[in-house]
Amino acid sequence: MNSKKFYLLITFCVAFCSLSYELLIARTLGSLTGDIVTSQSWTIGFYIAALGFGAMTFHLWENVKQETRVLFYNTEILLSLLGLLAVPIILLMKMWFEYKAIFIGQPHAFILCAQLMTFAVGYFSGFEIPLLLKLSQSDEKSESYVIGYHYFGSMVGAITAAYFFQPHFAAVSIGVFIASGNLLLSAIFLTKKLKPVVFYVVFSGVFVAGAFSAFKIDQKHAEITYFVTSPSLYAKSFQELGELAHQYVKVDRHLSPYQTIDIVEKTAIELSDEEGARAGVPQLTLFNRLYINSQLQVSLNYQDVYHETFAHVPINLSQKTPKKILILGGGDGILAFELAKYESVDITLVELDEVILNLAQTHPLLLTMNHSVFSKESVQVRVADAFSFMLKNRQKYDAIYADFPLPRDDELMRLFSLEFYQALRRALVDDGFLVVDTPGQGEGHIESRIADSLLSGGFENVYLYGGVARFALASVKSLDISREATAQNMGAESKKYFAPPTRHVSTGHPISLFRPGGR
Amino acid sequence: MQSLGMVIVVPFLLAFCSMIYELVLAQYISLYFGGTVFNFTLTIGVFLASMGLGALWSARVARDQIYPVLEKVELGLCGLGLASPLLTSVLGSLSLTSSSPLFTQVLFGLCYGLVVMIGILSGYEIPLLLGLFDNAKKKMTVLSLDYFGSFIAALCYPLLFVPHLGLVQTSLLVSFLNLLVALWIGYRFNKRYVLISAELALIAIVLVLMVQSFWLENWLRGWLYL
Repeated sequence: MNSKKFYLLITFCVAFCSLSYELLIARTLGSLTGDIVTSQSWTIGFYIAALGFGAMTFHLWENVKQETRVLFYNTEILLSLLGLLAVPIILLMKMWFEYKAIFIGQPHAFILCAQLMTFAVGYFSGFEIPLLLKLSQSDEKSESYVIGYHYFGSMVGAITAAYFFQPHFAAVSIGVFIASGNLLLSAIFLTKKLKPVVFYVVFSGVFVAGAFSAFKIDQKHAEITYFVTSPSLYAKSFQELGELAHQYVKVDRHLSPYQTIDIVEKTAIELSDEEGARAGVPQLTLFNRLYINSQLQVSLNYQDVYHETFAHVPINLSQKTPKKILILGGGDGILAFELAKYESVDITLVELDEVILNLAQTHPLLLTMNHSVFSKESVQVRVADAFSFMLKNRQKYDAIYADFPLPRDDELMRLFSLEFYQALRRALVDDGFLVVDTPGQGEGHIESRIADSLLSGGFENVYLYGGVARFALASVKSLDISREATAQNMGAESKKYFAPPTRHVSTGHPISLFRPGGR
Repeated sequence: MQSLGMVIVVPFLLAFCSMIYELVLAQYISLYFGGTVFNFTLTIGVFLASMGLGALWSARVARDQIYPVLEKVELGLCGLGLASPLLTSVLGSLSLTSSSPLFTQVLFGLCYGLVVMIGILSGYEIPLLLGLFDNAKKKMTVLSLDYFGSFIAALCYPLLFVPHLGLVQTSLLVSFLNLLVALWIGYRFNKRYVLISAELALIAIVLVLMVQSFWLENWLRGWLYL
């Protein structure tokens, strides 16, 4: 390979790595905060600004370092370290902020703080083009080639991230893999020795230790996330928090192209009375739970109450057992189990994620909860995106149950939009009903906005009811809500926690695809 | 005045508009095809590469042709910025109701064709603006404001535009800003009255659509249920 081609290849590779780091930071912030659009927009904005700043100021560094090759080599070494540590540092920041109760409920503030990492990656990546232009000592024509290959490398980086890395691997693993490649590239670039051998030995040690810590931090983050909601009450120091979480929480993580599924086993914390009094907290009893993208879906200790209230209250109120039922989401199969209790029902379950469906049919914990419902003939499973399924659907159903994770990210928001509810309305018979799980009143009026979306989507009556969780029941015909809502199939616990339905009056703030912020 | 406008205001506004076009398009594609992270990731990569391609092409423009070419590029960008939400809605709704995966992929590819076109035109602008000046300091200012415009756009998009204006009004407002730049360049430097008339007509249309944006949203919503 001649030197020109060699430099073009290097250009392609460094651009690939740099943009991959940026995308990794954006994705991590999106999954930590649920605010995908802000994470993606701010990260690319900071990255581009930092690239520009780096390109404009790199000559200041050049004066310090004599040889361009050395500066390039050092830049790549630094970038591989930054790429390796960007995600772990962001995870550490998140854990630390949670421990100190800083920026709780303020995702924007956290995303902004994390841009420090984006800026660092972008700033040093900004050195690359000017350095490569100097190194290749190119004329005007080959200058264009260097720039062109840099853009091309960025594009291939993004395509690989979208199609290969992000759907299949955890952020930390991607970081370690790409940073290792970046480092290897620097080594290949270094055809003659520039530093004493000791440097390489020490640096390799640092890098391996960094990679090892990255995986450790990722595991710690998962454990601490599922430990307790107010960690500072239970642990005297940040380190103790990590130890306690490791002792009491076991996370079984499954990655799918759509979500991170965590099956979490917890054991009860046995604080002695004295310790408990000192900490000022009650004894904790922790249970096995299923989380999707760190959001609680099902807990072994109250799954009956949740699903009984979800499934049977609407049927009791409408006084008609539906024959044809559509469940959207609910891949764990527990809601399907509750509904399969009725005779001669025909249930269609539409789930996007095959990984959760497989877990529901193989994982002992989930099999206990759903009583192997998927082996029943009355339950048909379709693997599809609910939005797309509903727009193509030409069938009518007696009842539709929308069992999605709560709309805490932009991706899920569209499944709570008035446009989606319009499609659901068209798929219902006139005396049918739709039930949706909602986050309750605490979270930024989301429950009221979901109810507004149902009204805007063509349902004339929307009732909000609850138990251990909250639900919105929508129908075209009005229902007699003074009826006994817990008459059949409801256990004593479900009856105990039941909060009767109230009729929702529109506040005029539906969730729309075109106006995610309301109007 | 000419210098201040061309060195500071125009580079800032053009980069600002391009970045918003890109983000709006990424969000539209996510709405219809699903996968917000996937589509933002892909859009960023494709947009950067197309910008690079545009920048490489535009280096061939002769100096005395810069203003006329710039005005046309801006008009093209406004047209694409205005048409892309509509085209994405049409392509997206076709894909949602299509049962052929290949057809869906073709429609998805066509949506990215829009990202590529906006990217190429956005990349085309920068060397044109740089070509207007010999002074290295001014060139540096133009470049800095270009980066700064993208940065401010990326900051404002989730904070102001999405929550307060929504996707339709954001596209319209940004096209309006872009049209003002085109009109200013046309009026100040080119004086091609056909183009100026086209710009004025487009401004009038955009203003009417902004006032009627709820109607426009309902109309786009209708495309979801072809």
